[in-house]
Amino acid sequence: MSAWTVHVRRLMFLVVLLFFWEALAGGVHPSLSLFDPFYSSSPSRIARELYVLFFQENIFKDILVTLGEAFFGLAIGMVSGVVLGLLFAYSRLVSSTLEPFMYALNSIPRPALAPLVIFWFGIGIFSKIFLAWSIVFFVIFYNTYLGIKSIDPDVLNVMKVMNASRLQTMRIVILPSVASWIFAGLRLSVSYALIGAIIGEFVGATAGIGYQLIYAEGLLMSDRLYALVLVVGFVGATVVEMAKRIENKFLRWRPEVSL
Amino acid sequence: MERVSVEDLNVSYISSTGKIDALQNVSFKVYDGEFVTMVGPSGCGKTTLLNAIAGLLSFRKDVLIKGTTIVQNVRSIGYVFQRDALLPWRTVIENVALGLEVKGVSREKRMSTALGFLRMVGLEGYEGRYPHELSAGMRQRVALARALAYDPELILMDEPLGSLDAQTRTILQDELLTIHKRTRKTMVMVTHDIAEAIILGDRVLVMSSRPGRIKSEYKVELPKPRSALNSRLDPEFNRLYRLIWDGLKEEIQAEQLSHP
Repeated sequence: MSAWTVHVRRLMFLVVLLFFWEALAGGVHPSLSLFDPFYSSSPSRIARELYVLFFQENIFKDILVTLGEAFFGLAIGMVSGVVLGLLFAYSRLVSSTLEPFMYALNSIPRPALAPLVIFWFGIGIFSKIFLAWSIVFFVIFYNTYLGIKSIDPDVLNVMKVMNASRLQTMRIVILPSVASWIFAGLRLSVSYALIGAIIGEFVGATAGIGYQLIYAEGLLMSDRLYALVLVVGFVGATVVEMAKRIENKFLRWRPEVSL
Repeated sequence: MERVSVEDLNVSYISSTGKIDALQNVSFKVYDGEFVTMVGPSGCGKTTLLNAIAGLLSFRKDVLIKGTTIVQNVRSIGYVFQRDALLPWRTVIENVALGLEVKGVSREKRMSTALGFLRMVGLEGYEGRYPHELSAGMRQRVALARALAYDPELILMDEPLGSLDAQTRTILQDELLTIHKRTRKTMVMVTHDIAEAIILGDRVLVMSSRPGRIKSEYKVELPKPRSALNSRLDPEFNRLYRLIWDGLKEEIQAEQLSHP
């Protein structure tokens, strides 16, 4: 079966789906109406709302705000996660002392933290960066730790036999192994960062996609909620696809794994 | 000239359940340019002995060492493990050049040297591949090239062909013979395969079951240059095989009686 027929089938499925949605919401003929469009919305109403969002209300600004928050949370989470992961792997003292605390902290569902974080950092971008960080940090931390623990002891023996210095072993073996684990988890980290930022915006913000969602809910703008969910989905998919490209570029040396 | 001299070496591992003696009163010498092979029942401390020579045990806190292992005029050691221990994110040639990189040799120089050794192990044309793209036998060739490339005076091998199929193994045995003839490196190799020990070794050391001792030693008088096949067909091979097997059988039976 060629790729082309797959695309055609997918497109047909989508068209049929949208048609039924539009029809049942009364958009094709009033006699077909089954749902109340206030709750179900309809493809045409969502399209109209998307036009408003992009061309009259500048939703780009909110997208950039949310992406910026997620990005900084991701960046800070990566650096701090790697540092603590290395510390855990190298110091038995640190890891045995802090391990239960790390576990306990990571067990907190982050939305529960959001009001407190707003309390600490206010409703600006820092509270969102913190929330994004609070999820990414643990993912990176555990990946770093595992990246070091999964190194073949024979590889370390090879380095010792070659009289490699600690710094050389770090540069040649340990950091690349850690990097490969982090890149392997990049897609996950990116979506977590986005989730963190949006949760923060739900609780208190003045801009961002999460803020726009809460705003639309408050004004009972159901069509806009649908449109915004579509926007969030699209933004998420784009960012995750980018992360996937980066993963593939850096992990070229790996055997192909299909999901 | 002696390259390795082990004198009255005792090694024990200390664990929470007590002390396990891995090696007991081990003494032997390896001379320059010699290929020495060791056979012994599994768990007899062969790997421990190689690690002691390589100096890898002195790093560990749970190991008690008595006696001495002296490596003379050896600036560096090459070590080939049963599993290839290659860096999966590096290409084949970068893996081979690893030891030179650690030594601080310039990139251009170490790549051309590495290419020479890849050619020696018959992997020309594979330099840009990643380890996962290679078969187990090819990866082990890369590991061998890596151990040779930084020109160590002594090469230790811990069952390097142990995980390969019989045909690949025979081919690599021939290649090891060729490489030894060409480089005249001092080589010490541990194997569980008596035939391999005879085919490759100038001398075969037979170890006892745990705690490992050197039980006996056989000089292999097979004509050189050797090949795996020609050696197997030589009456001397059969004589040695029987001698070594008889000795080893006692050890394995003793081991099984003491640990039913």
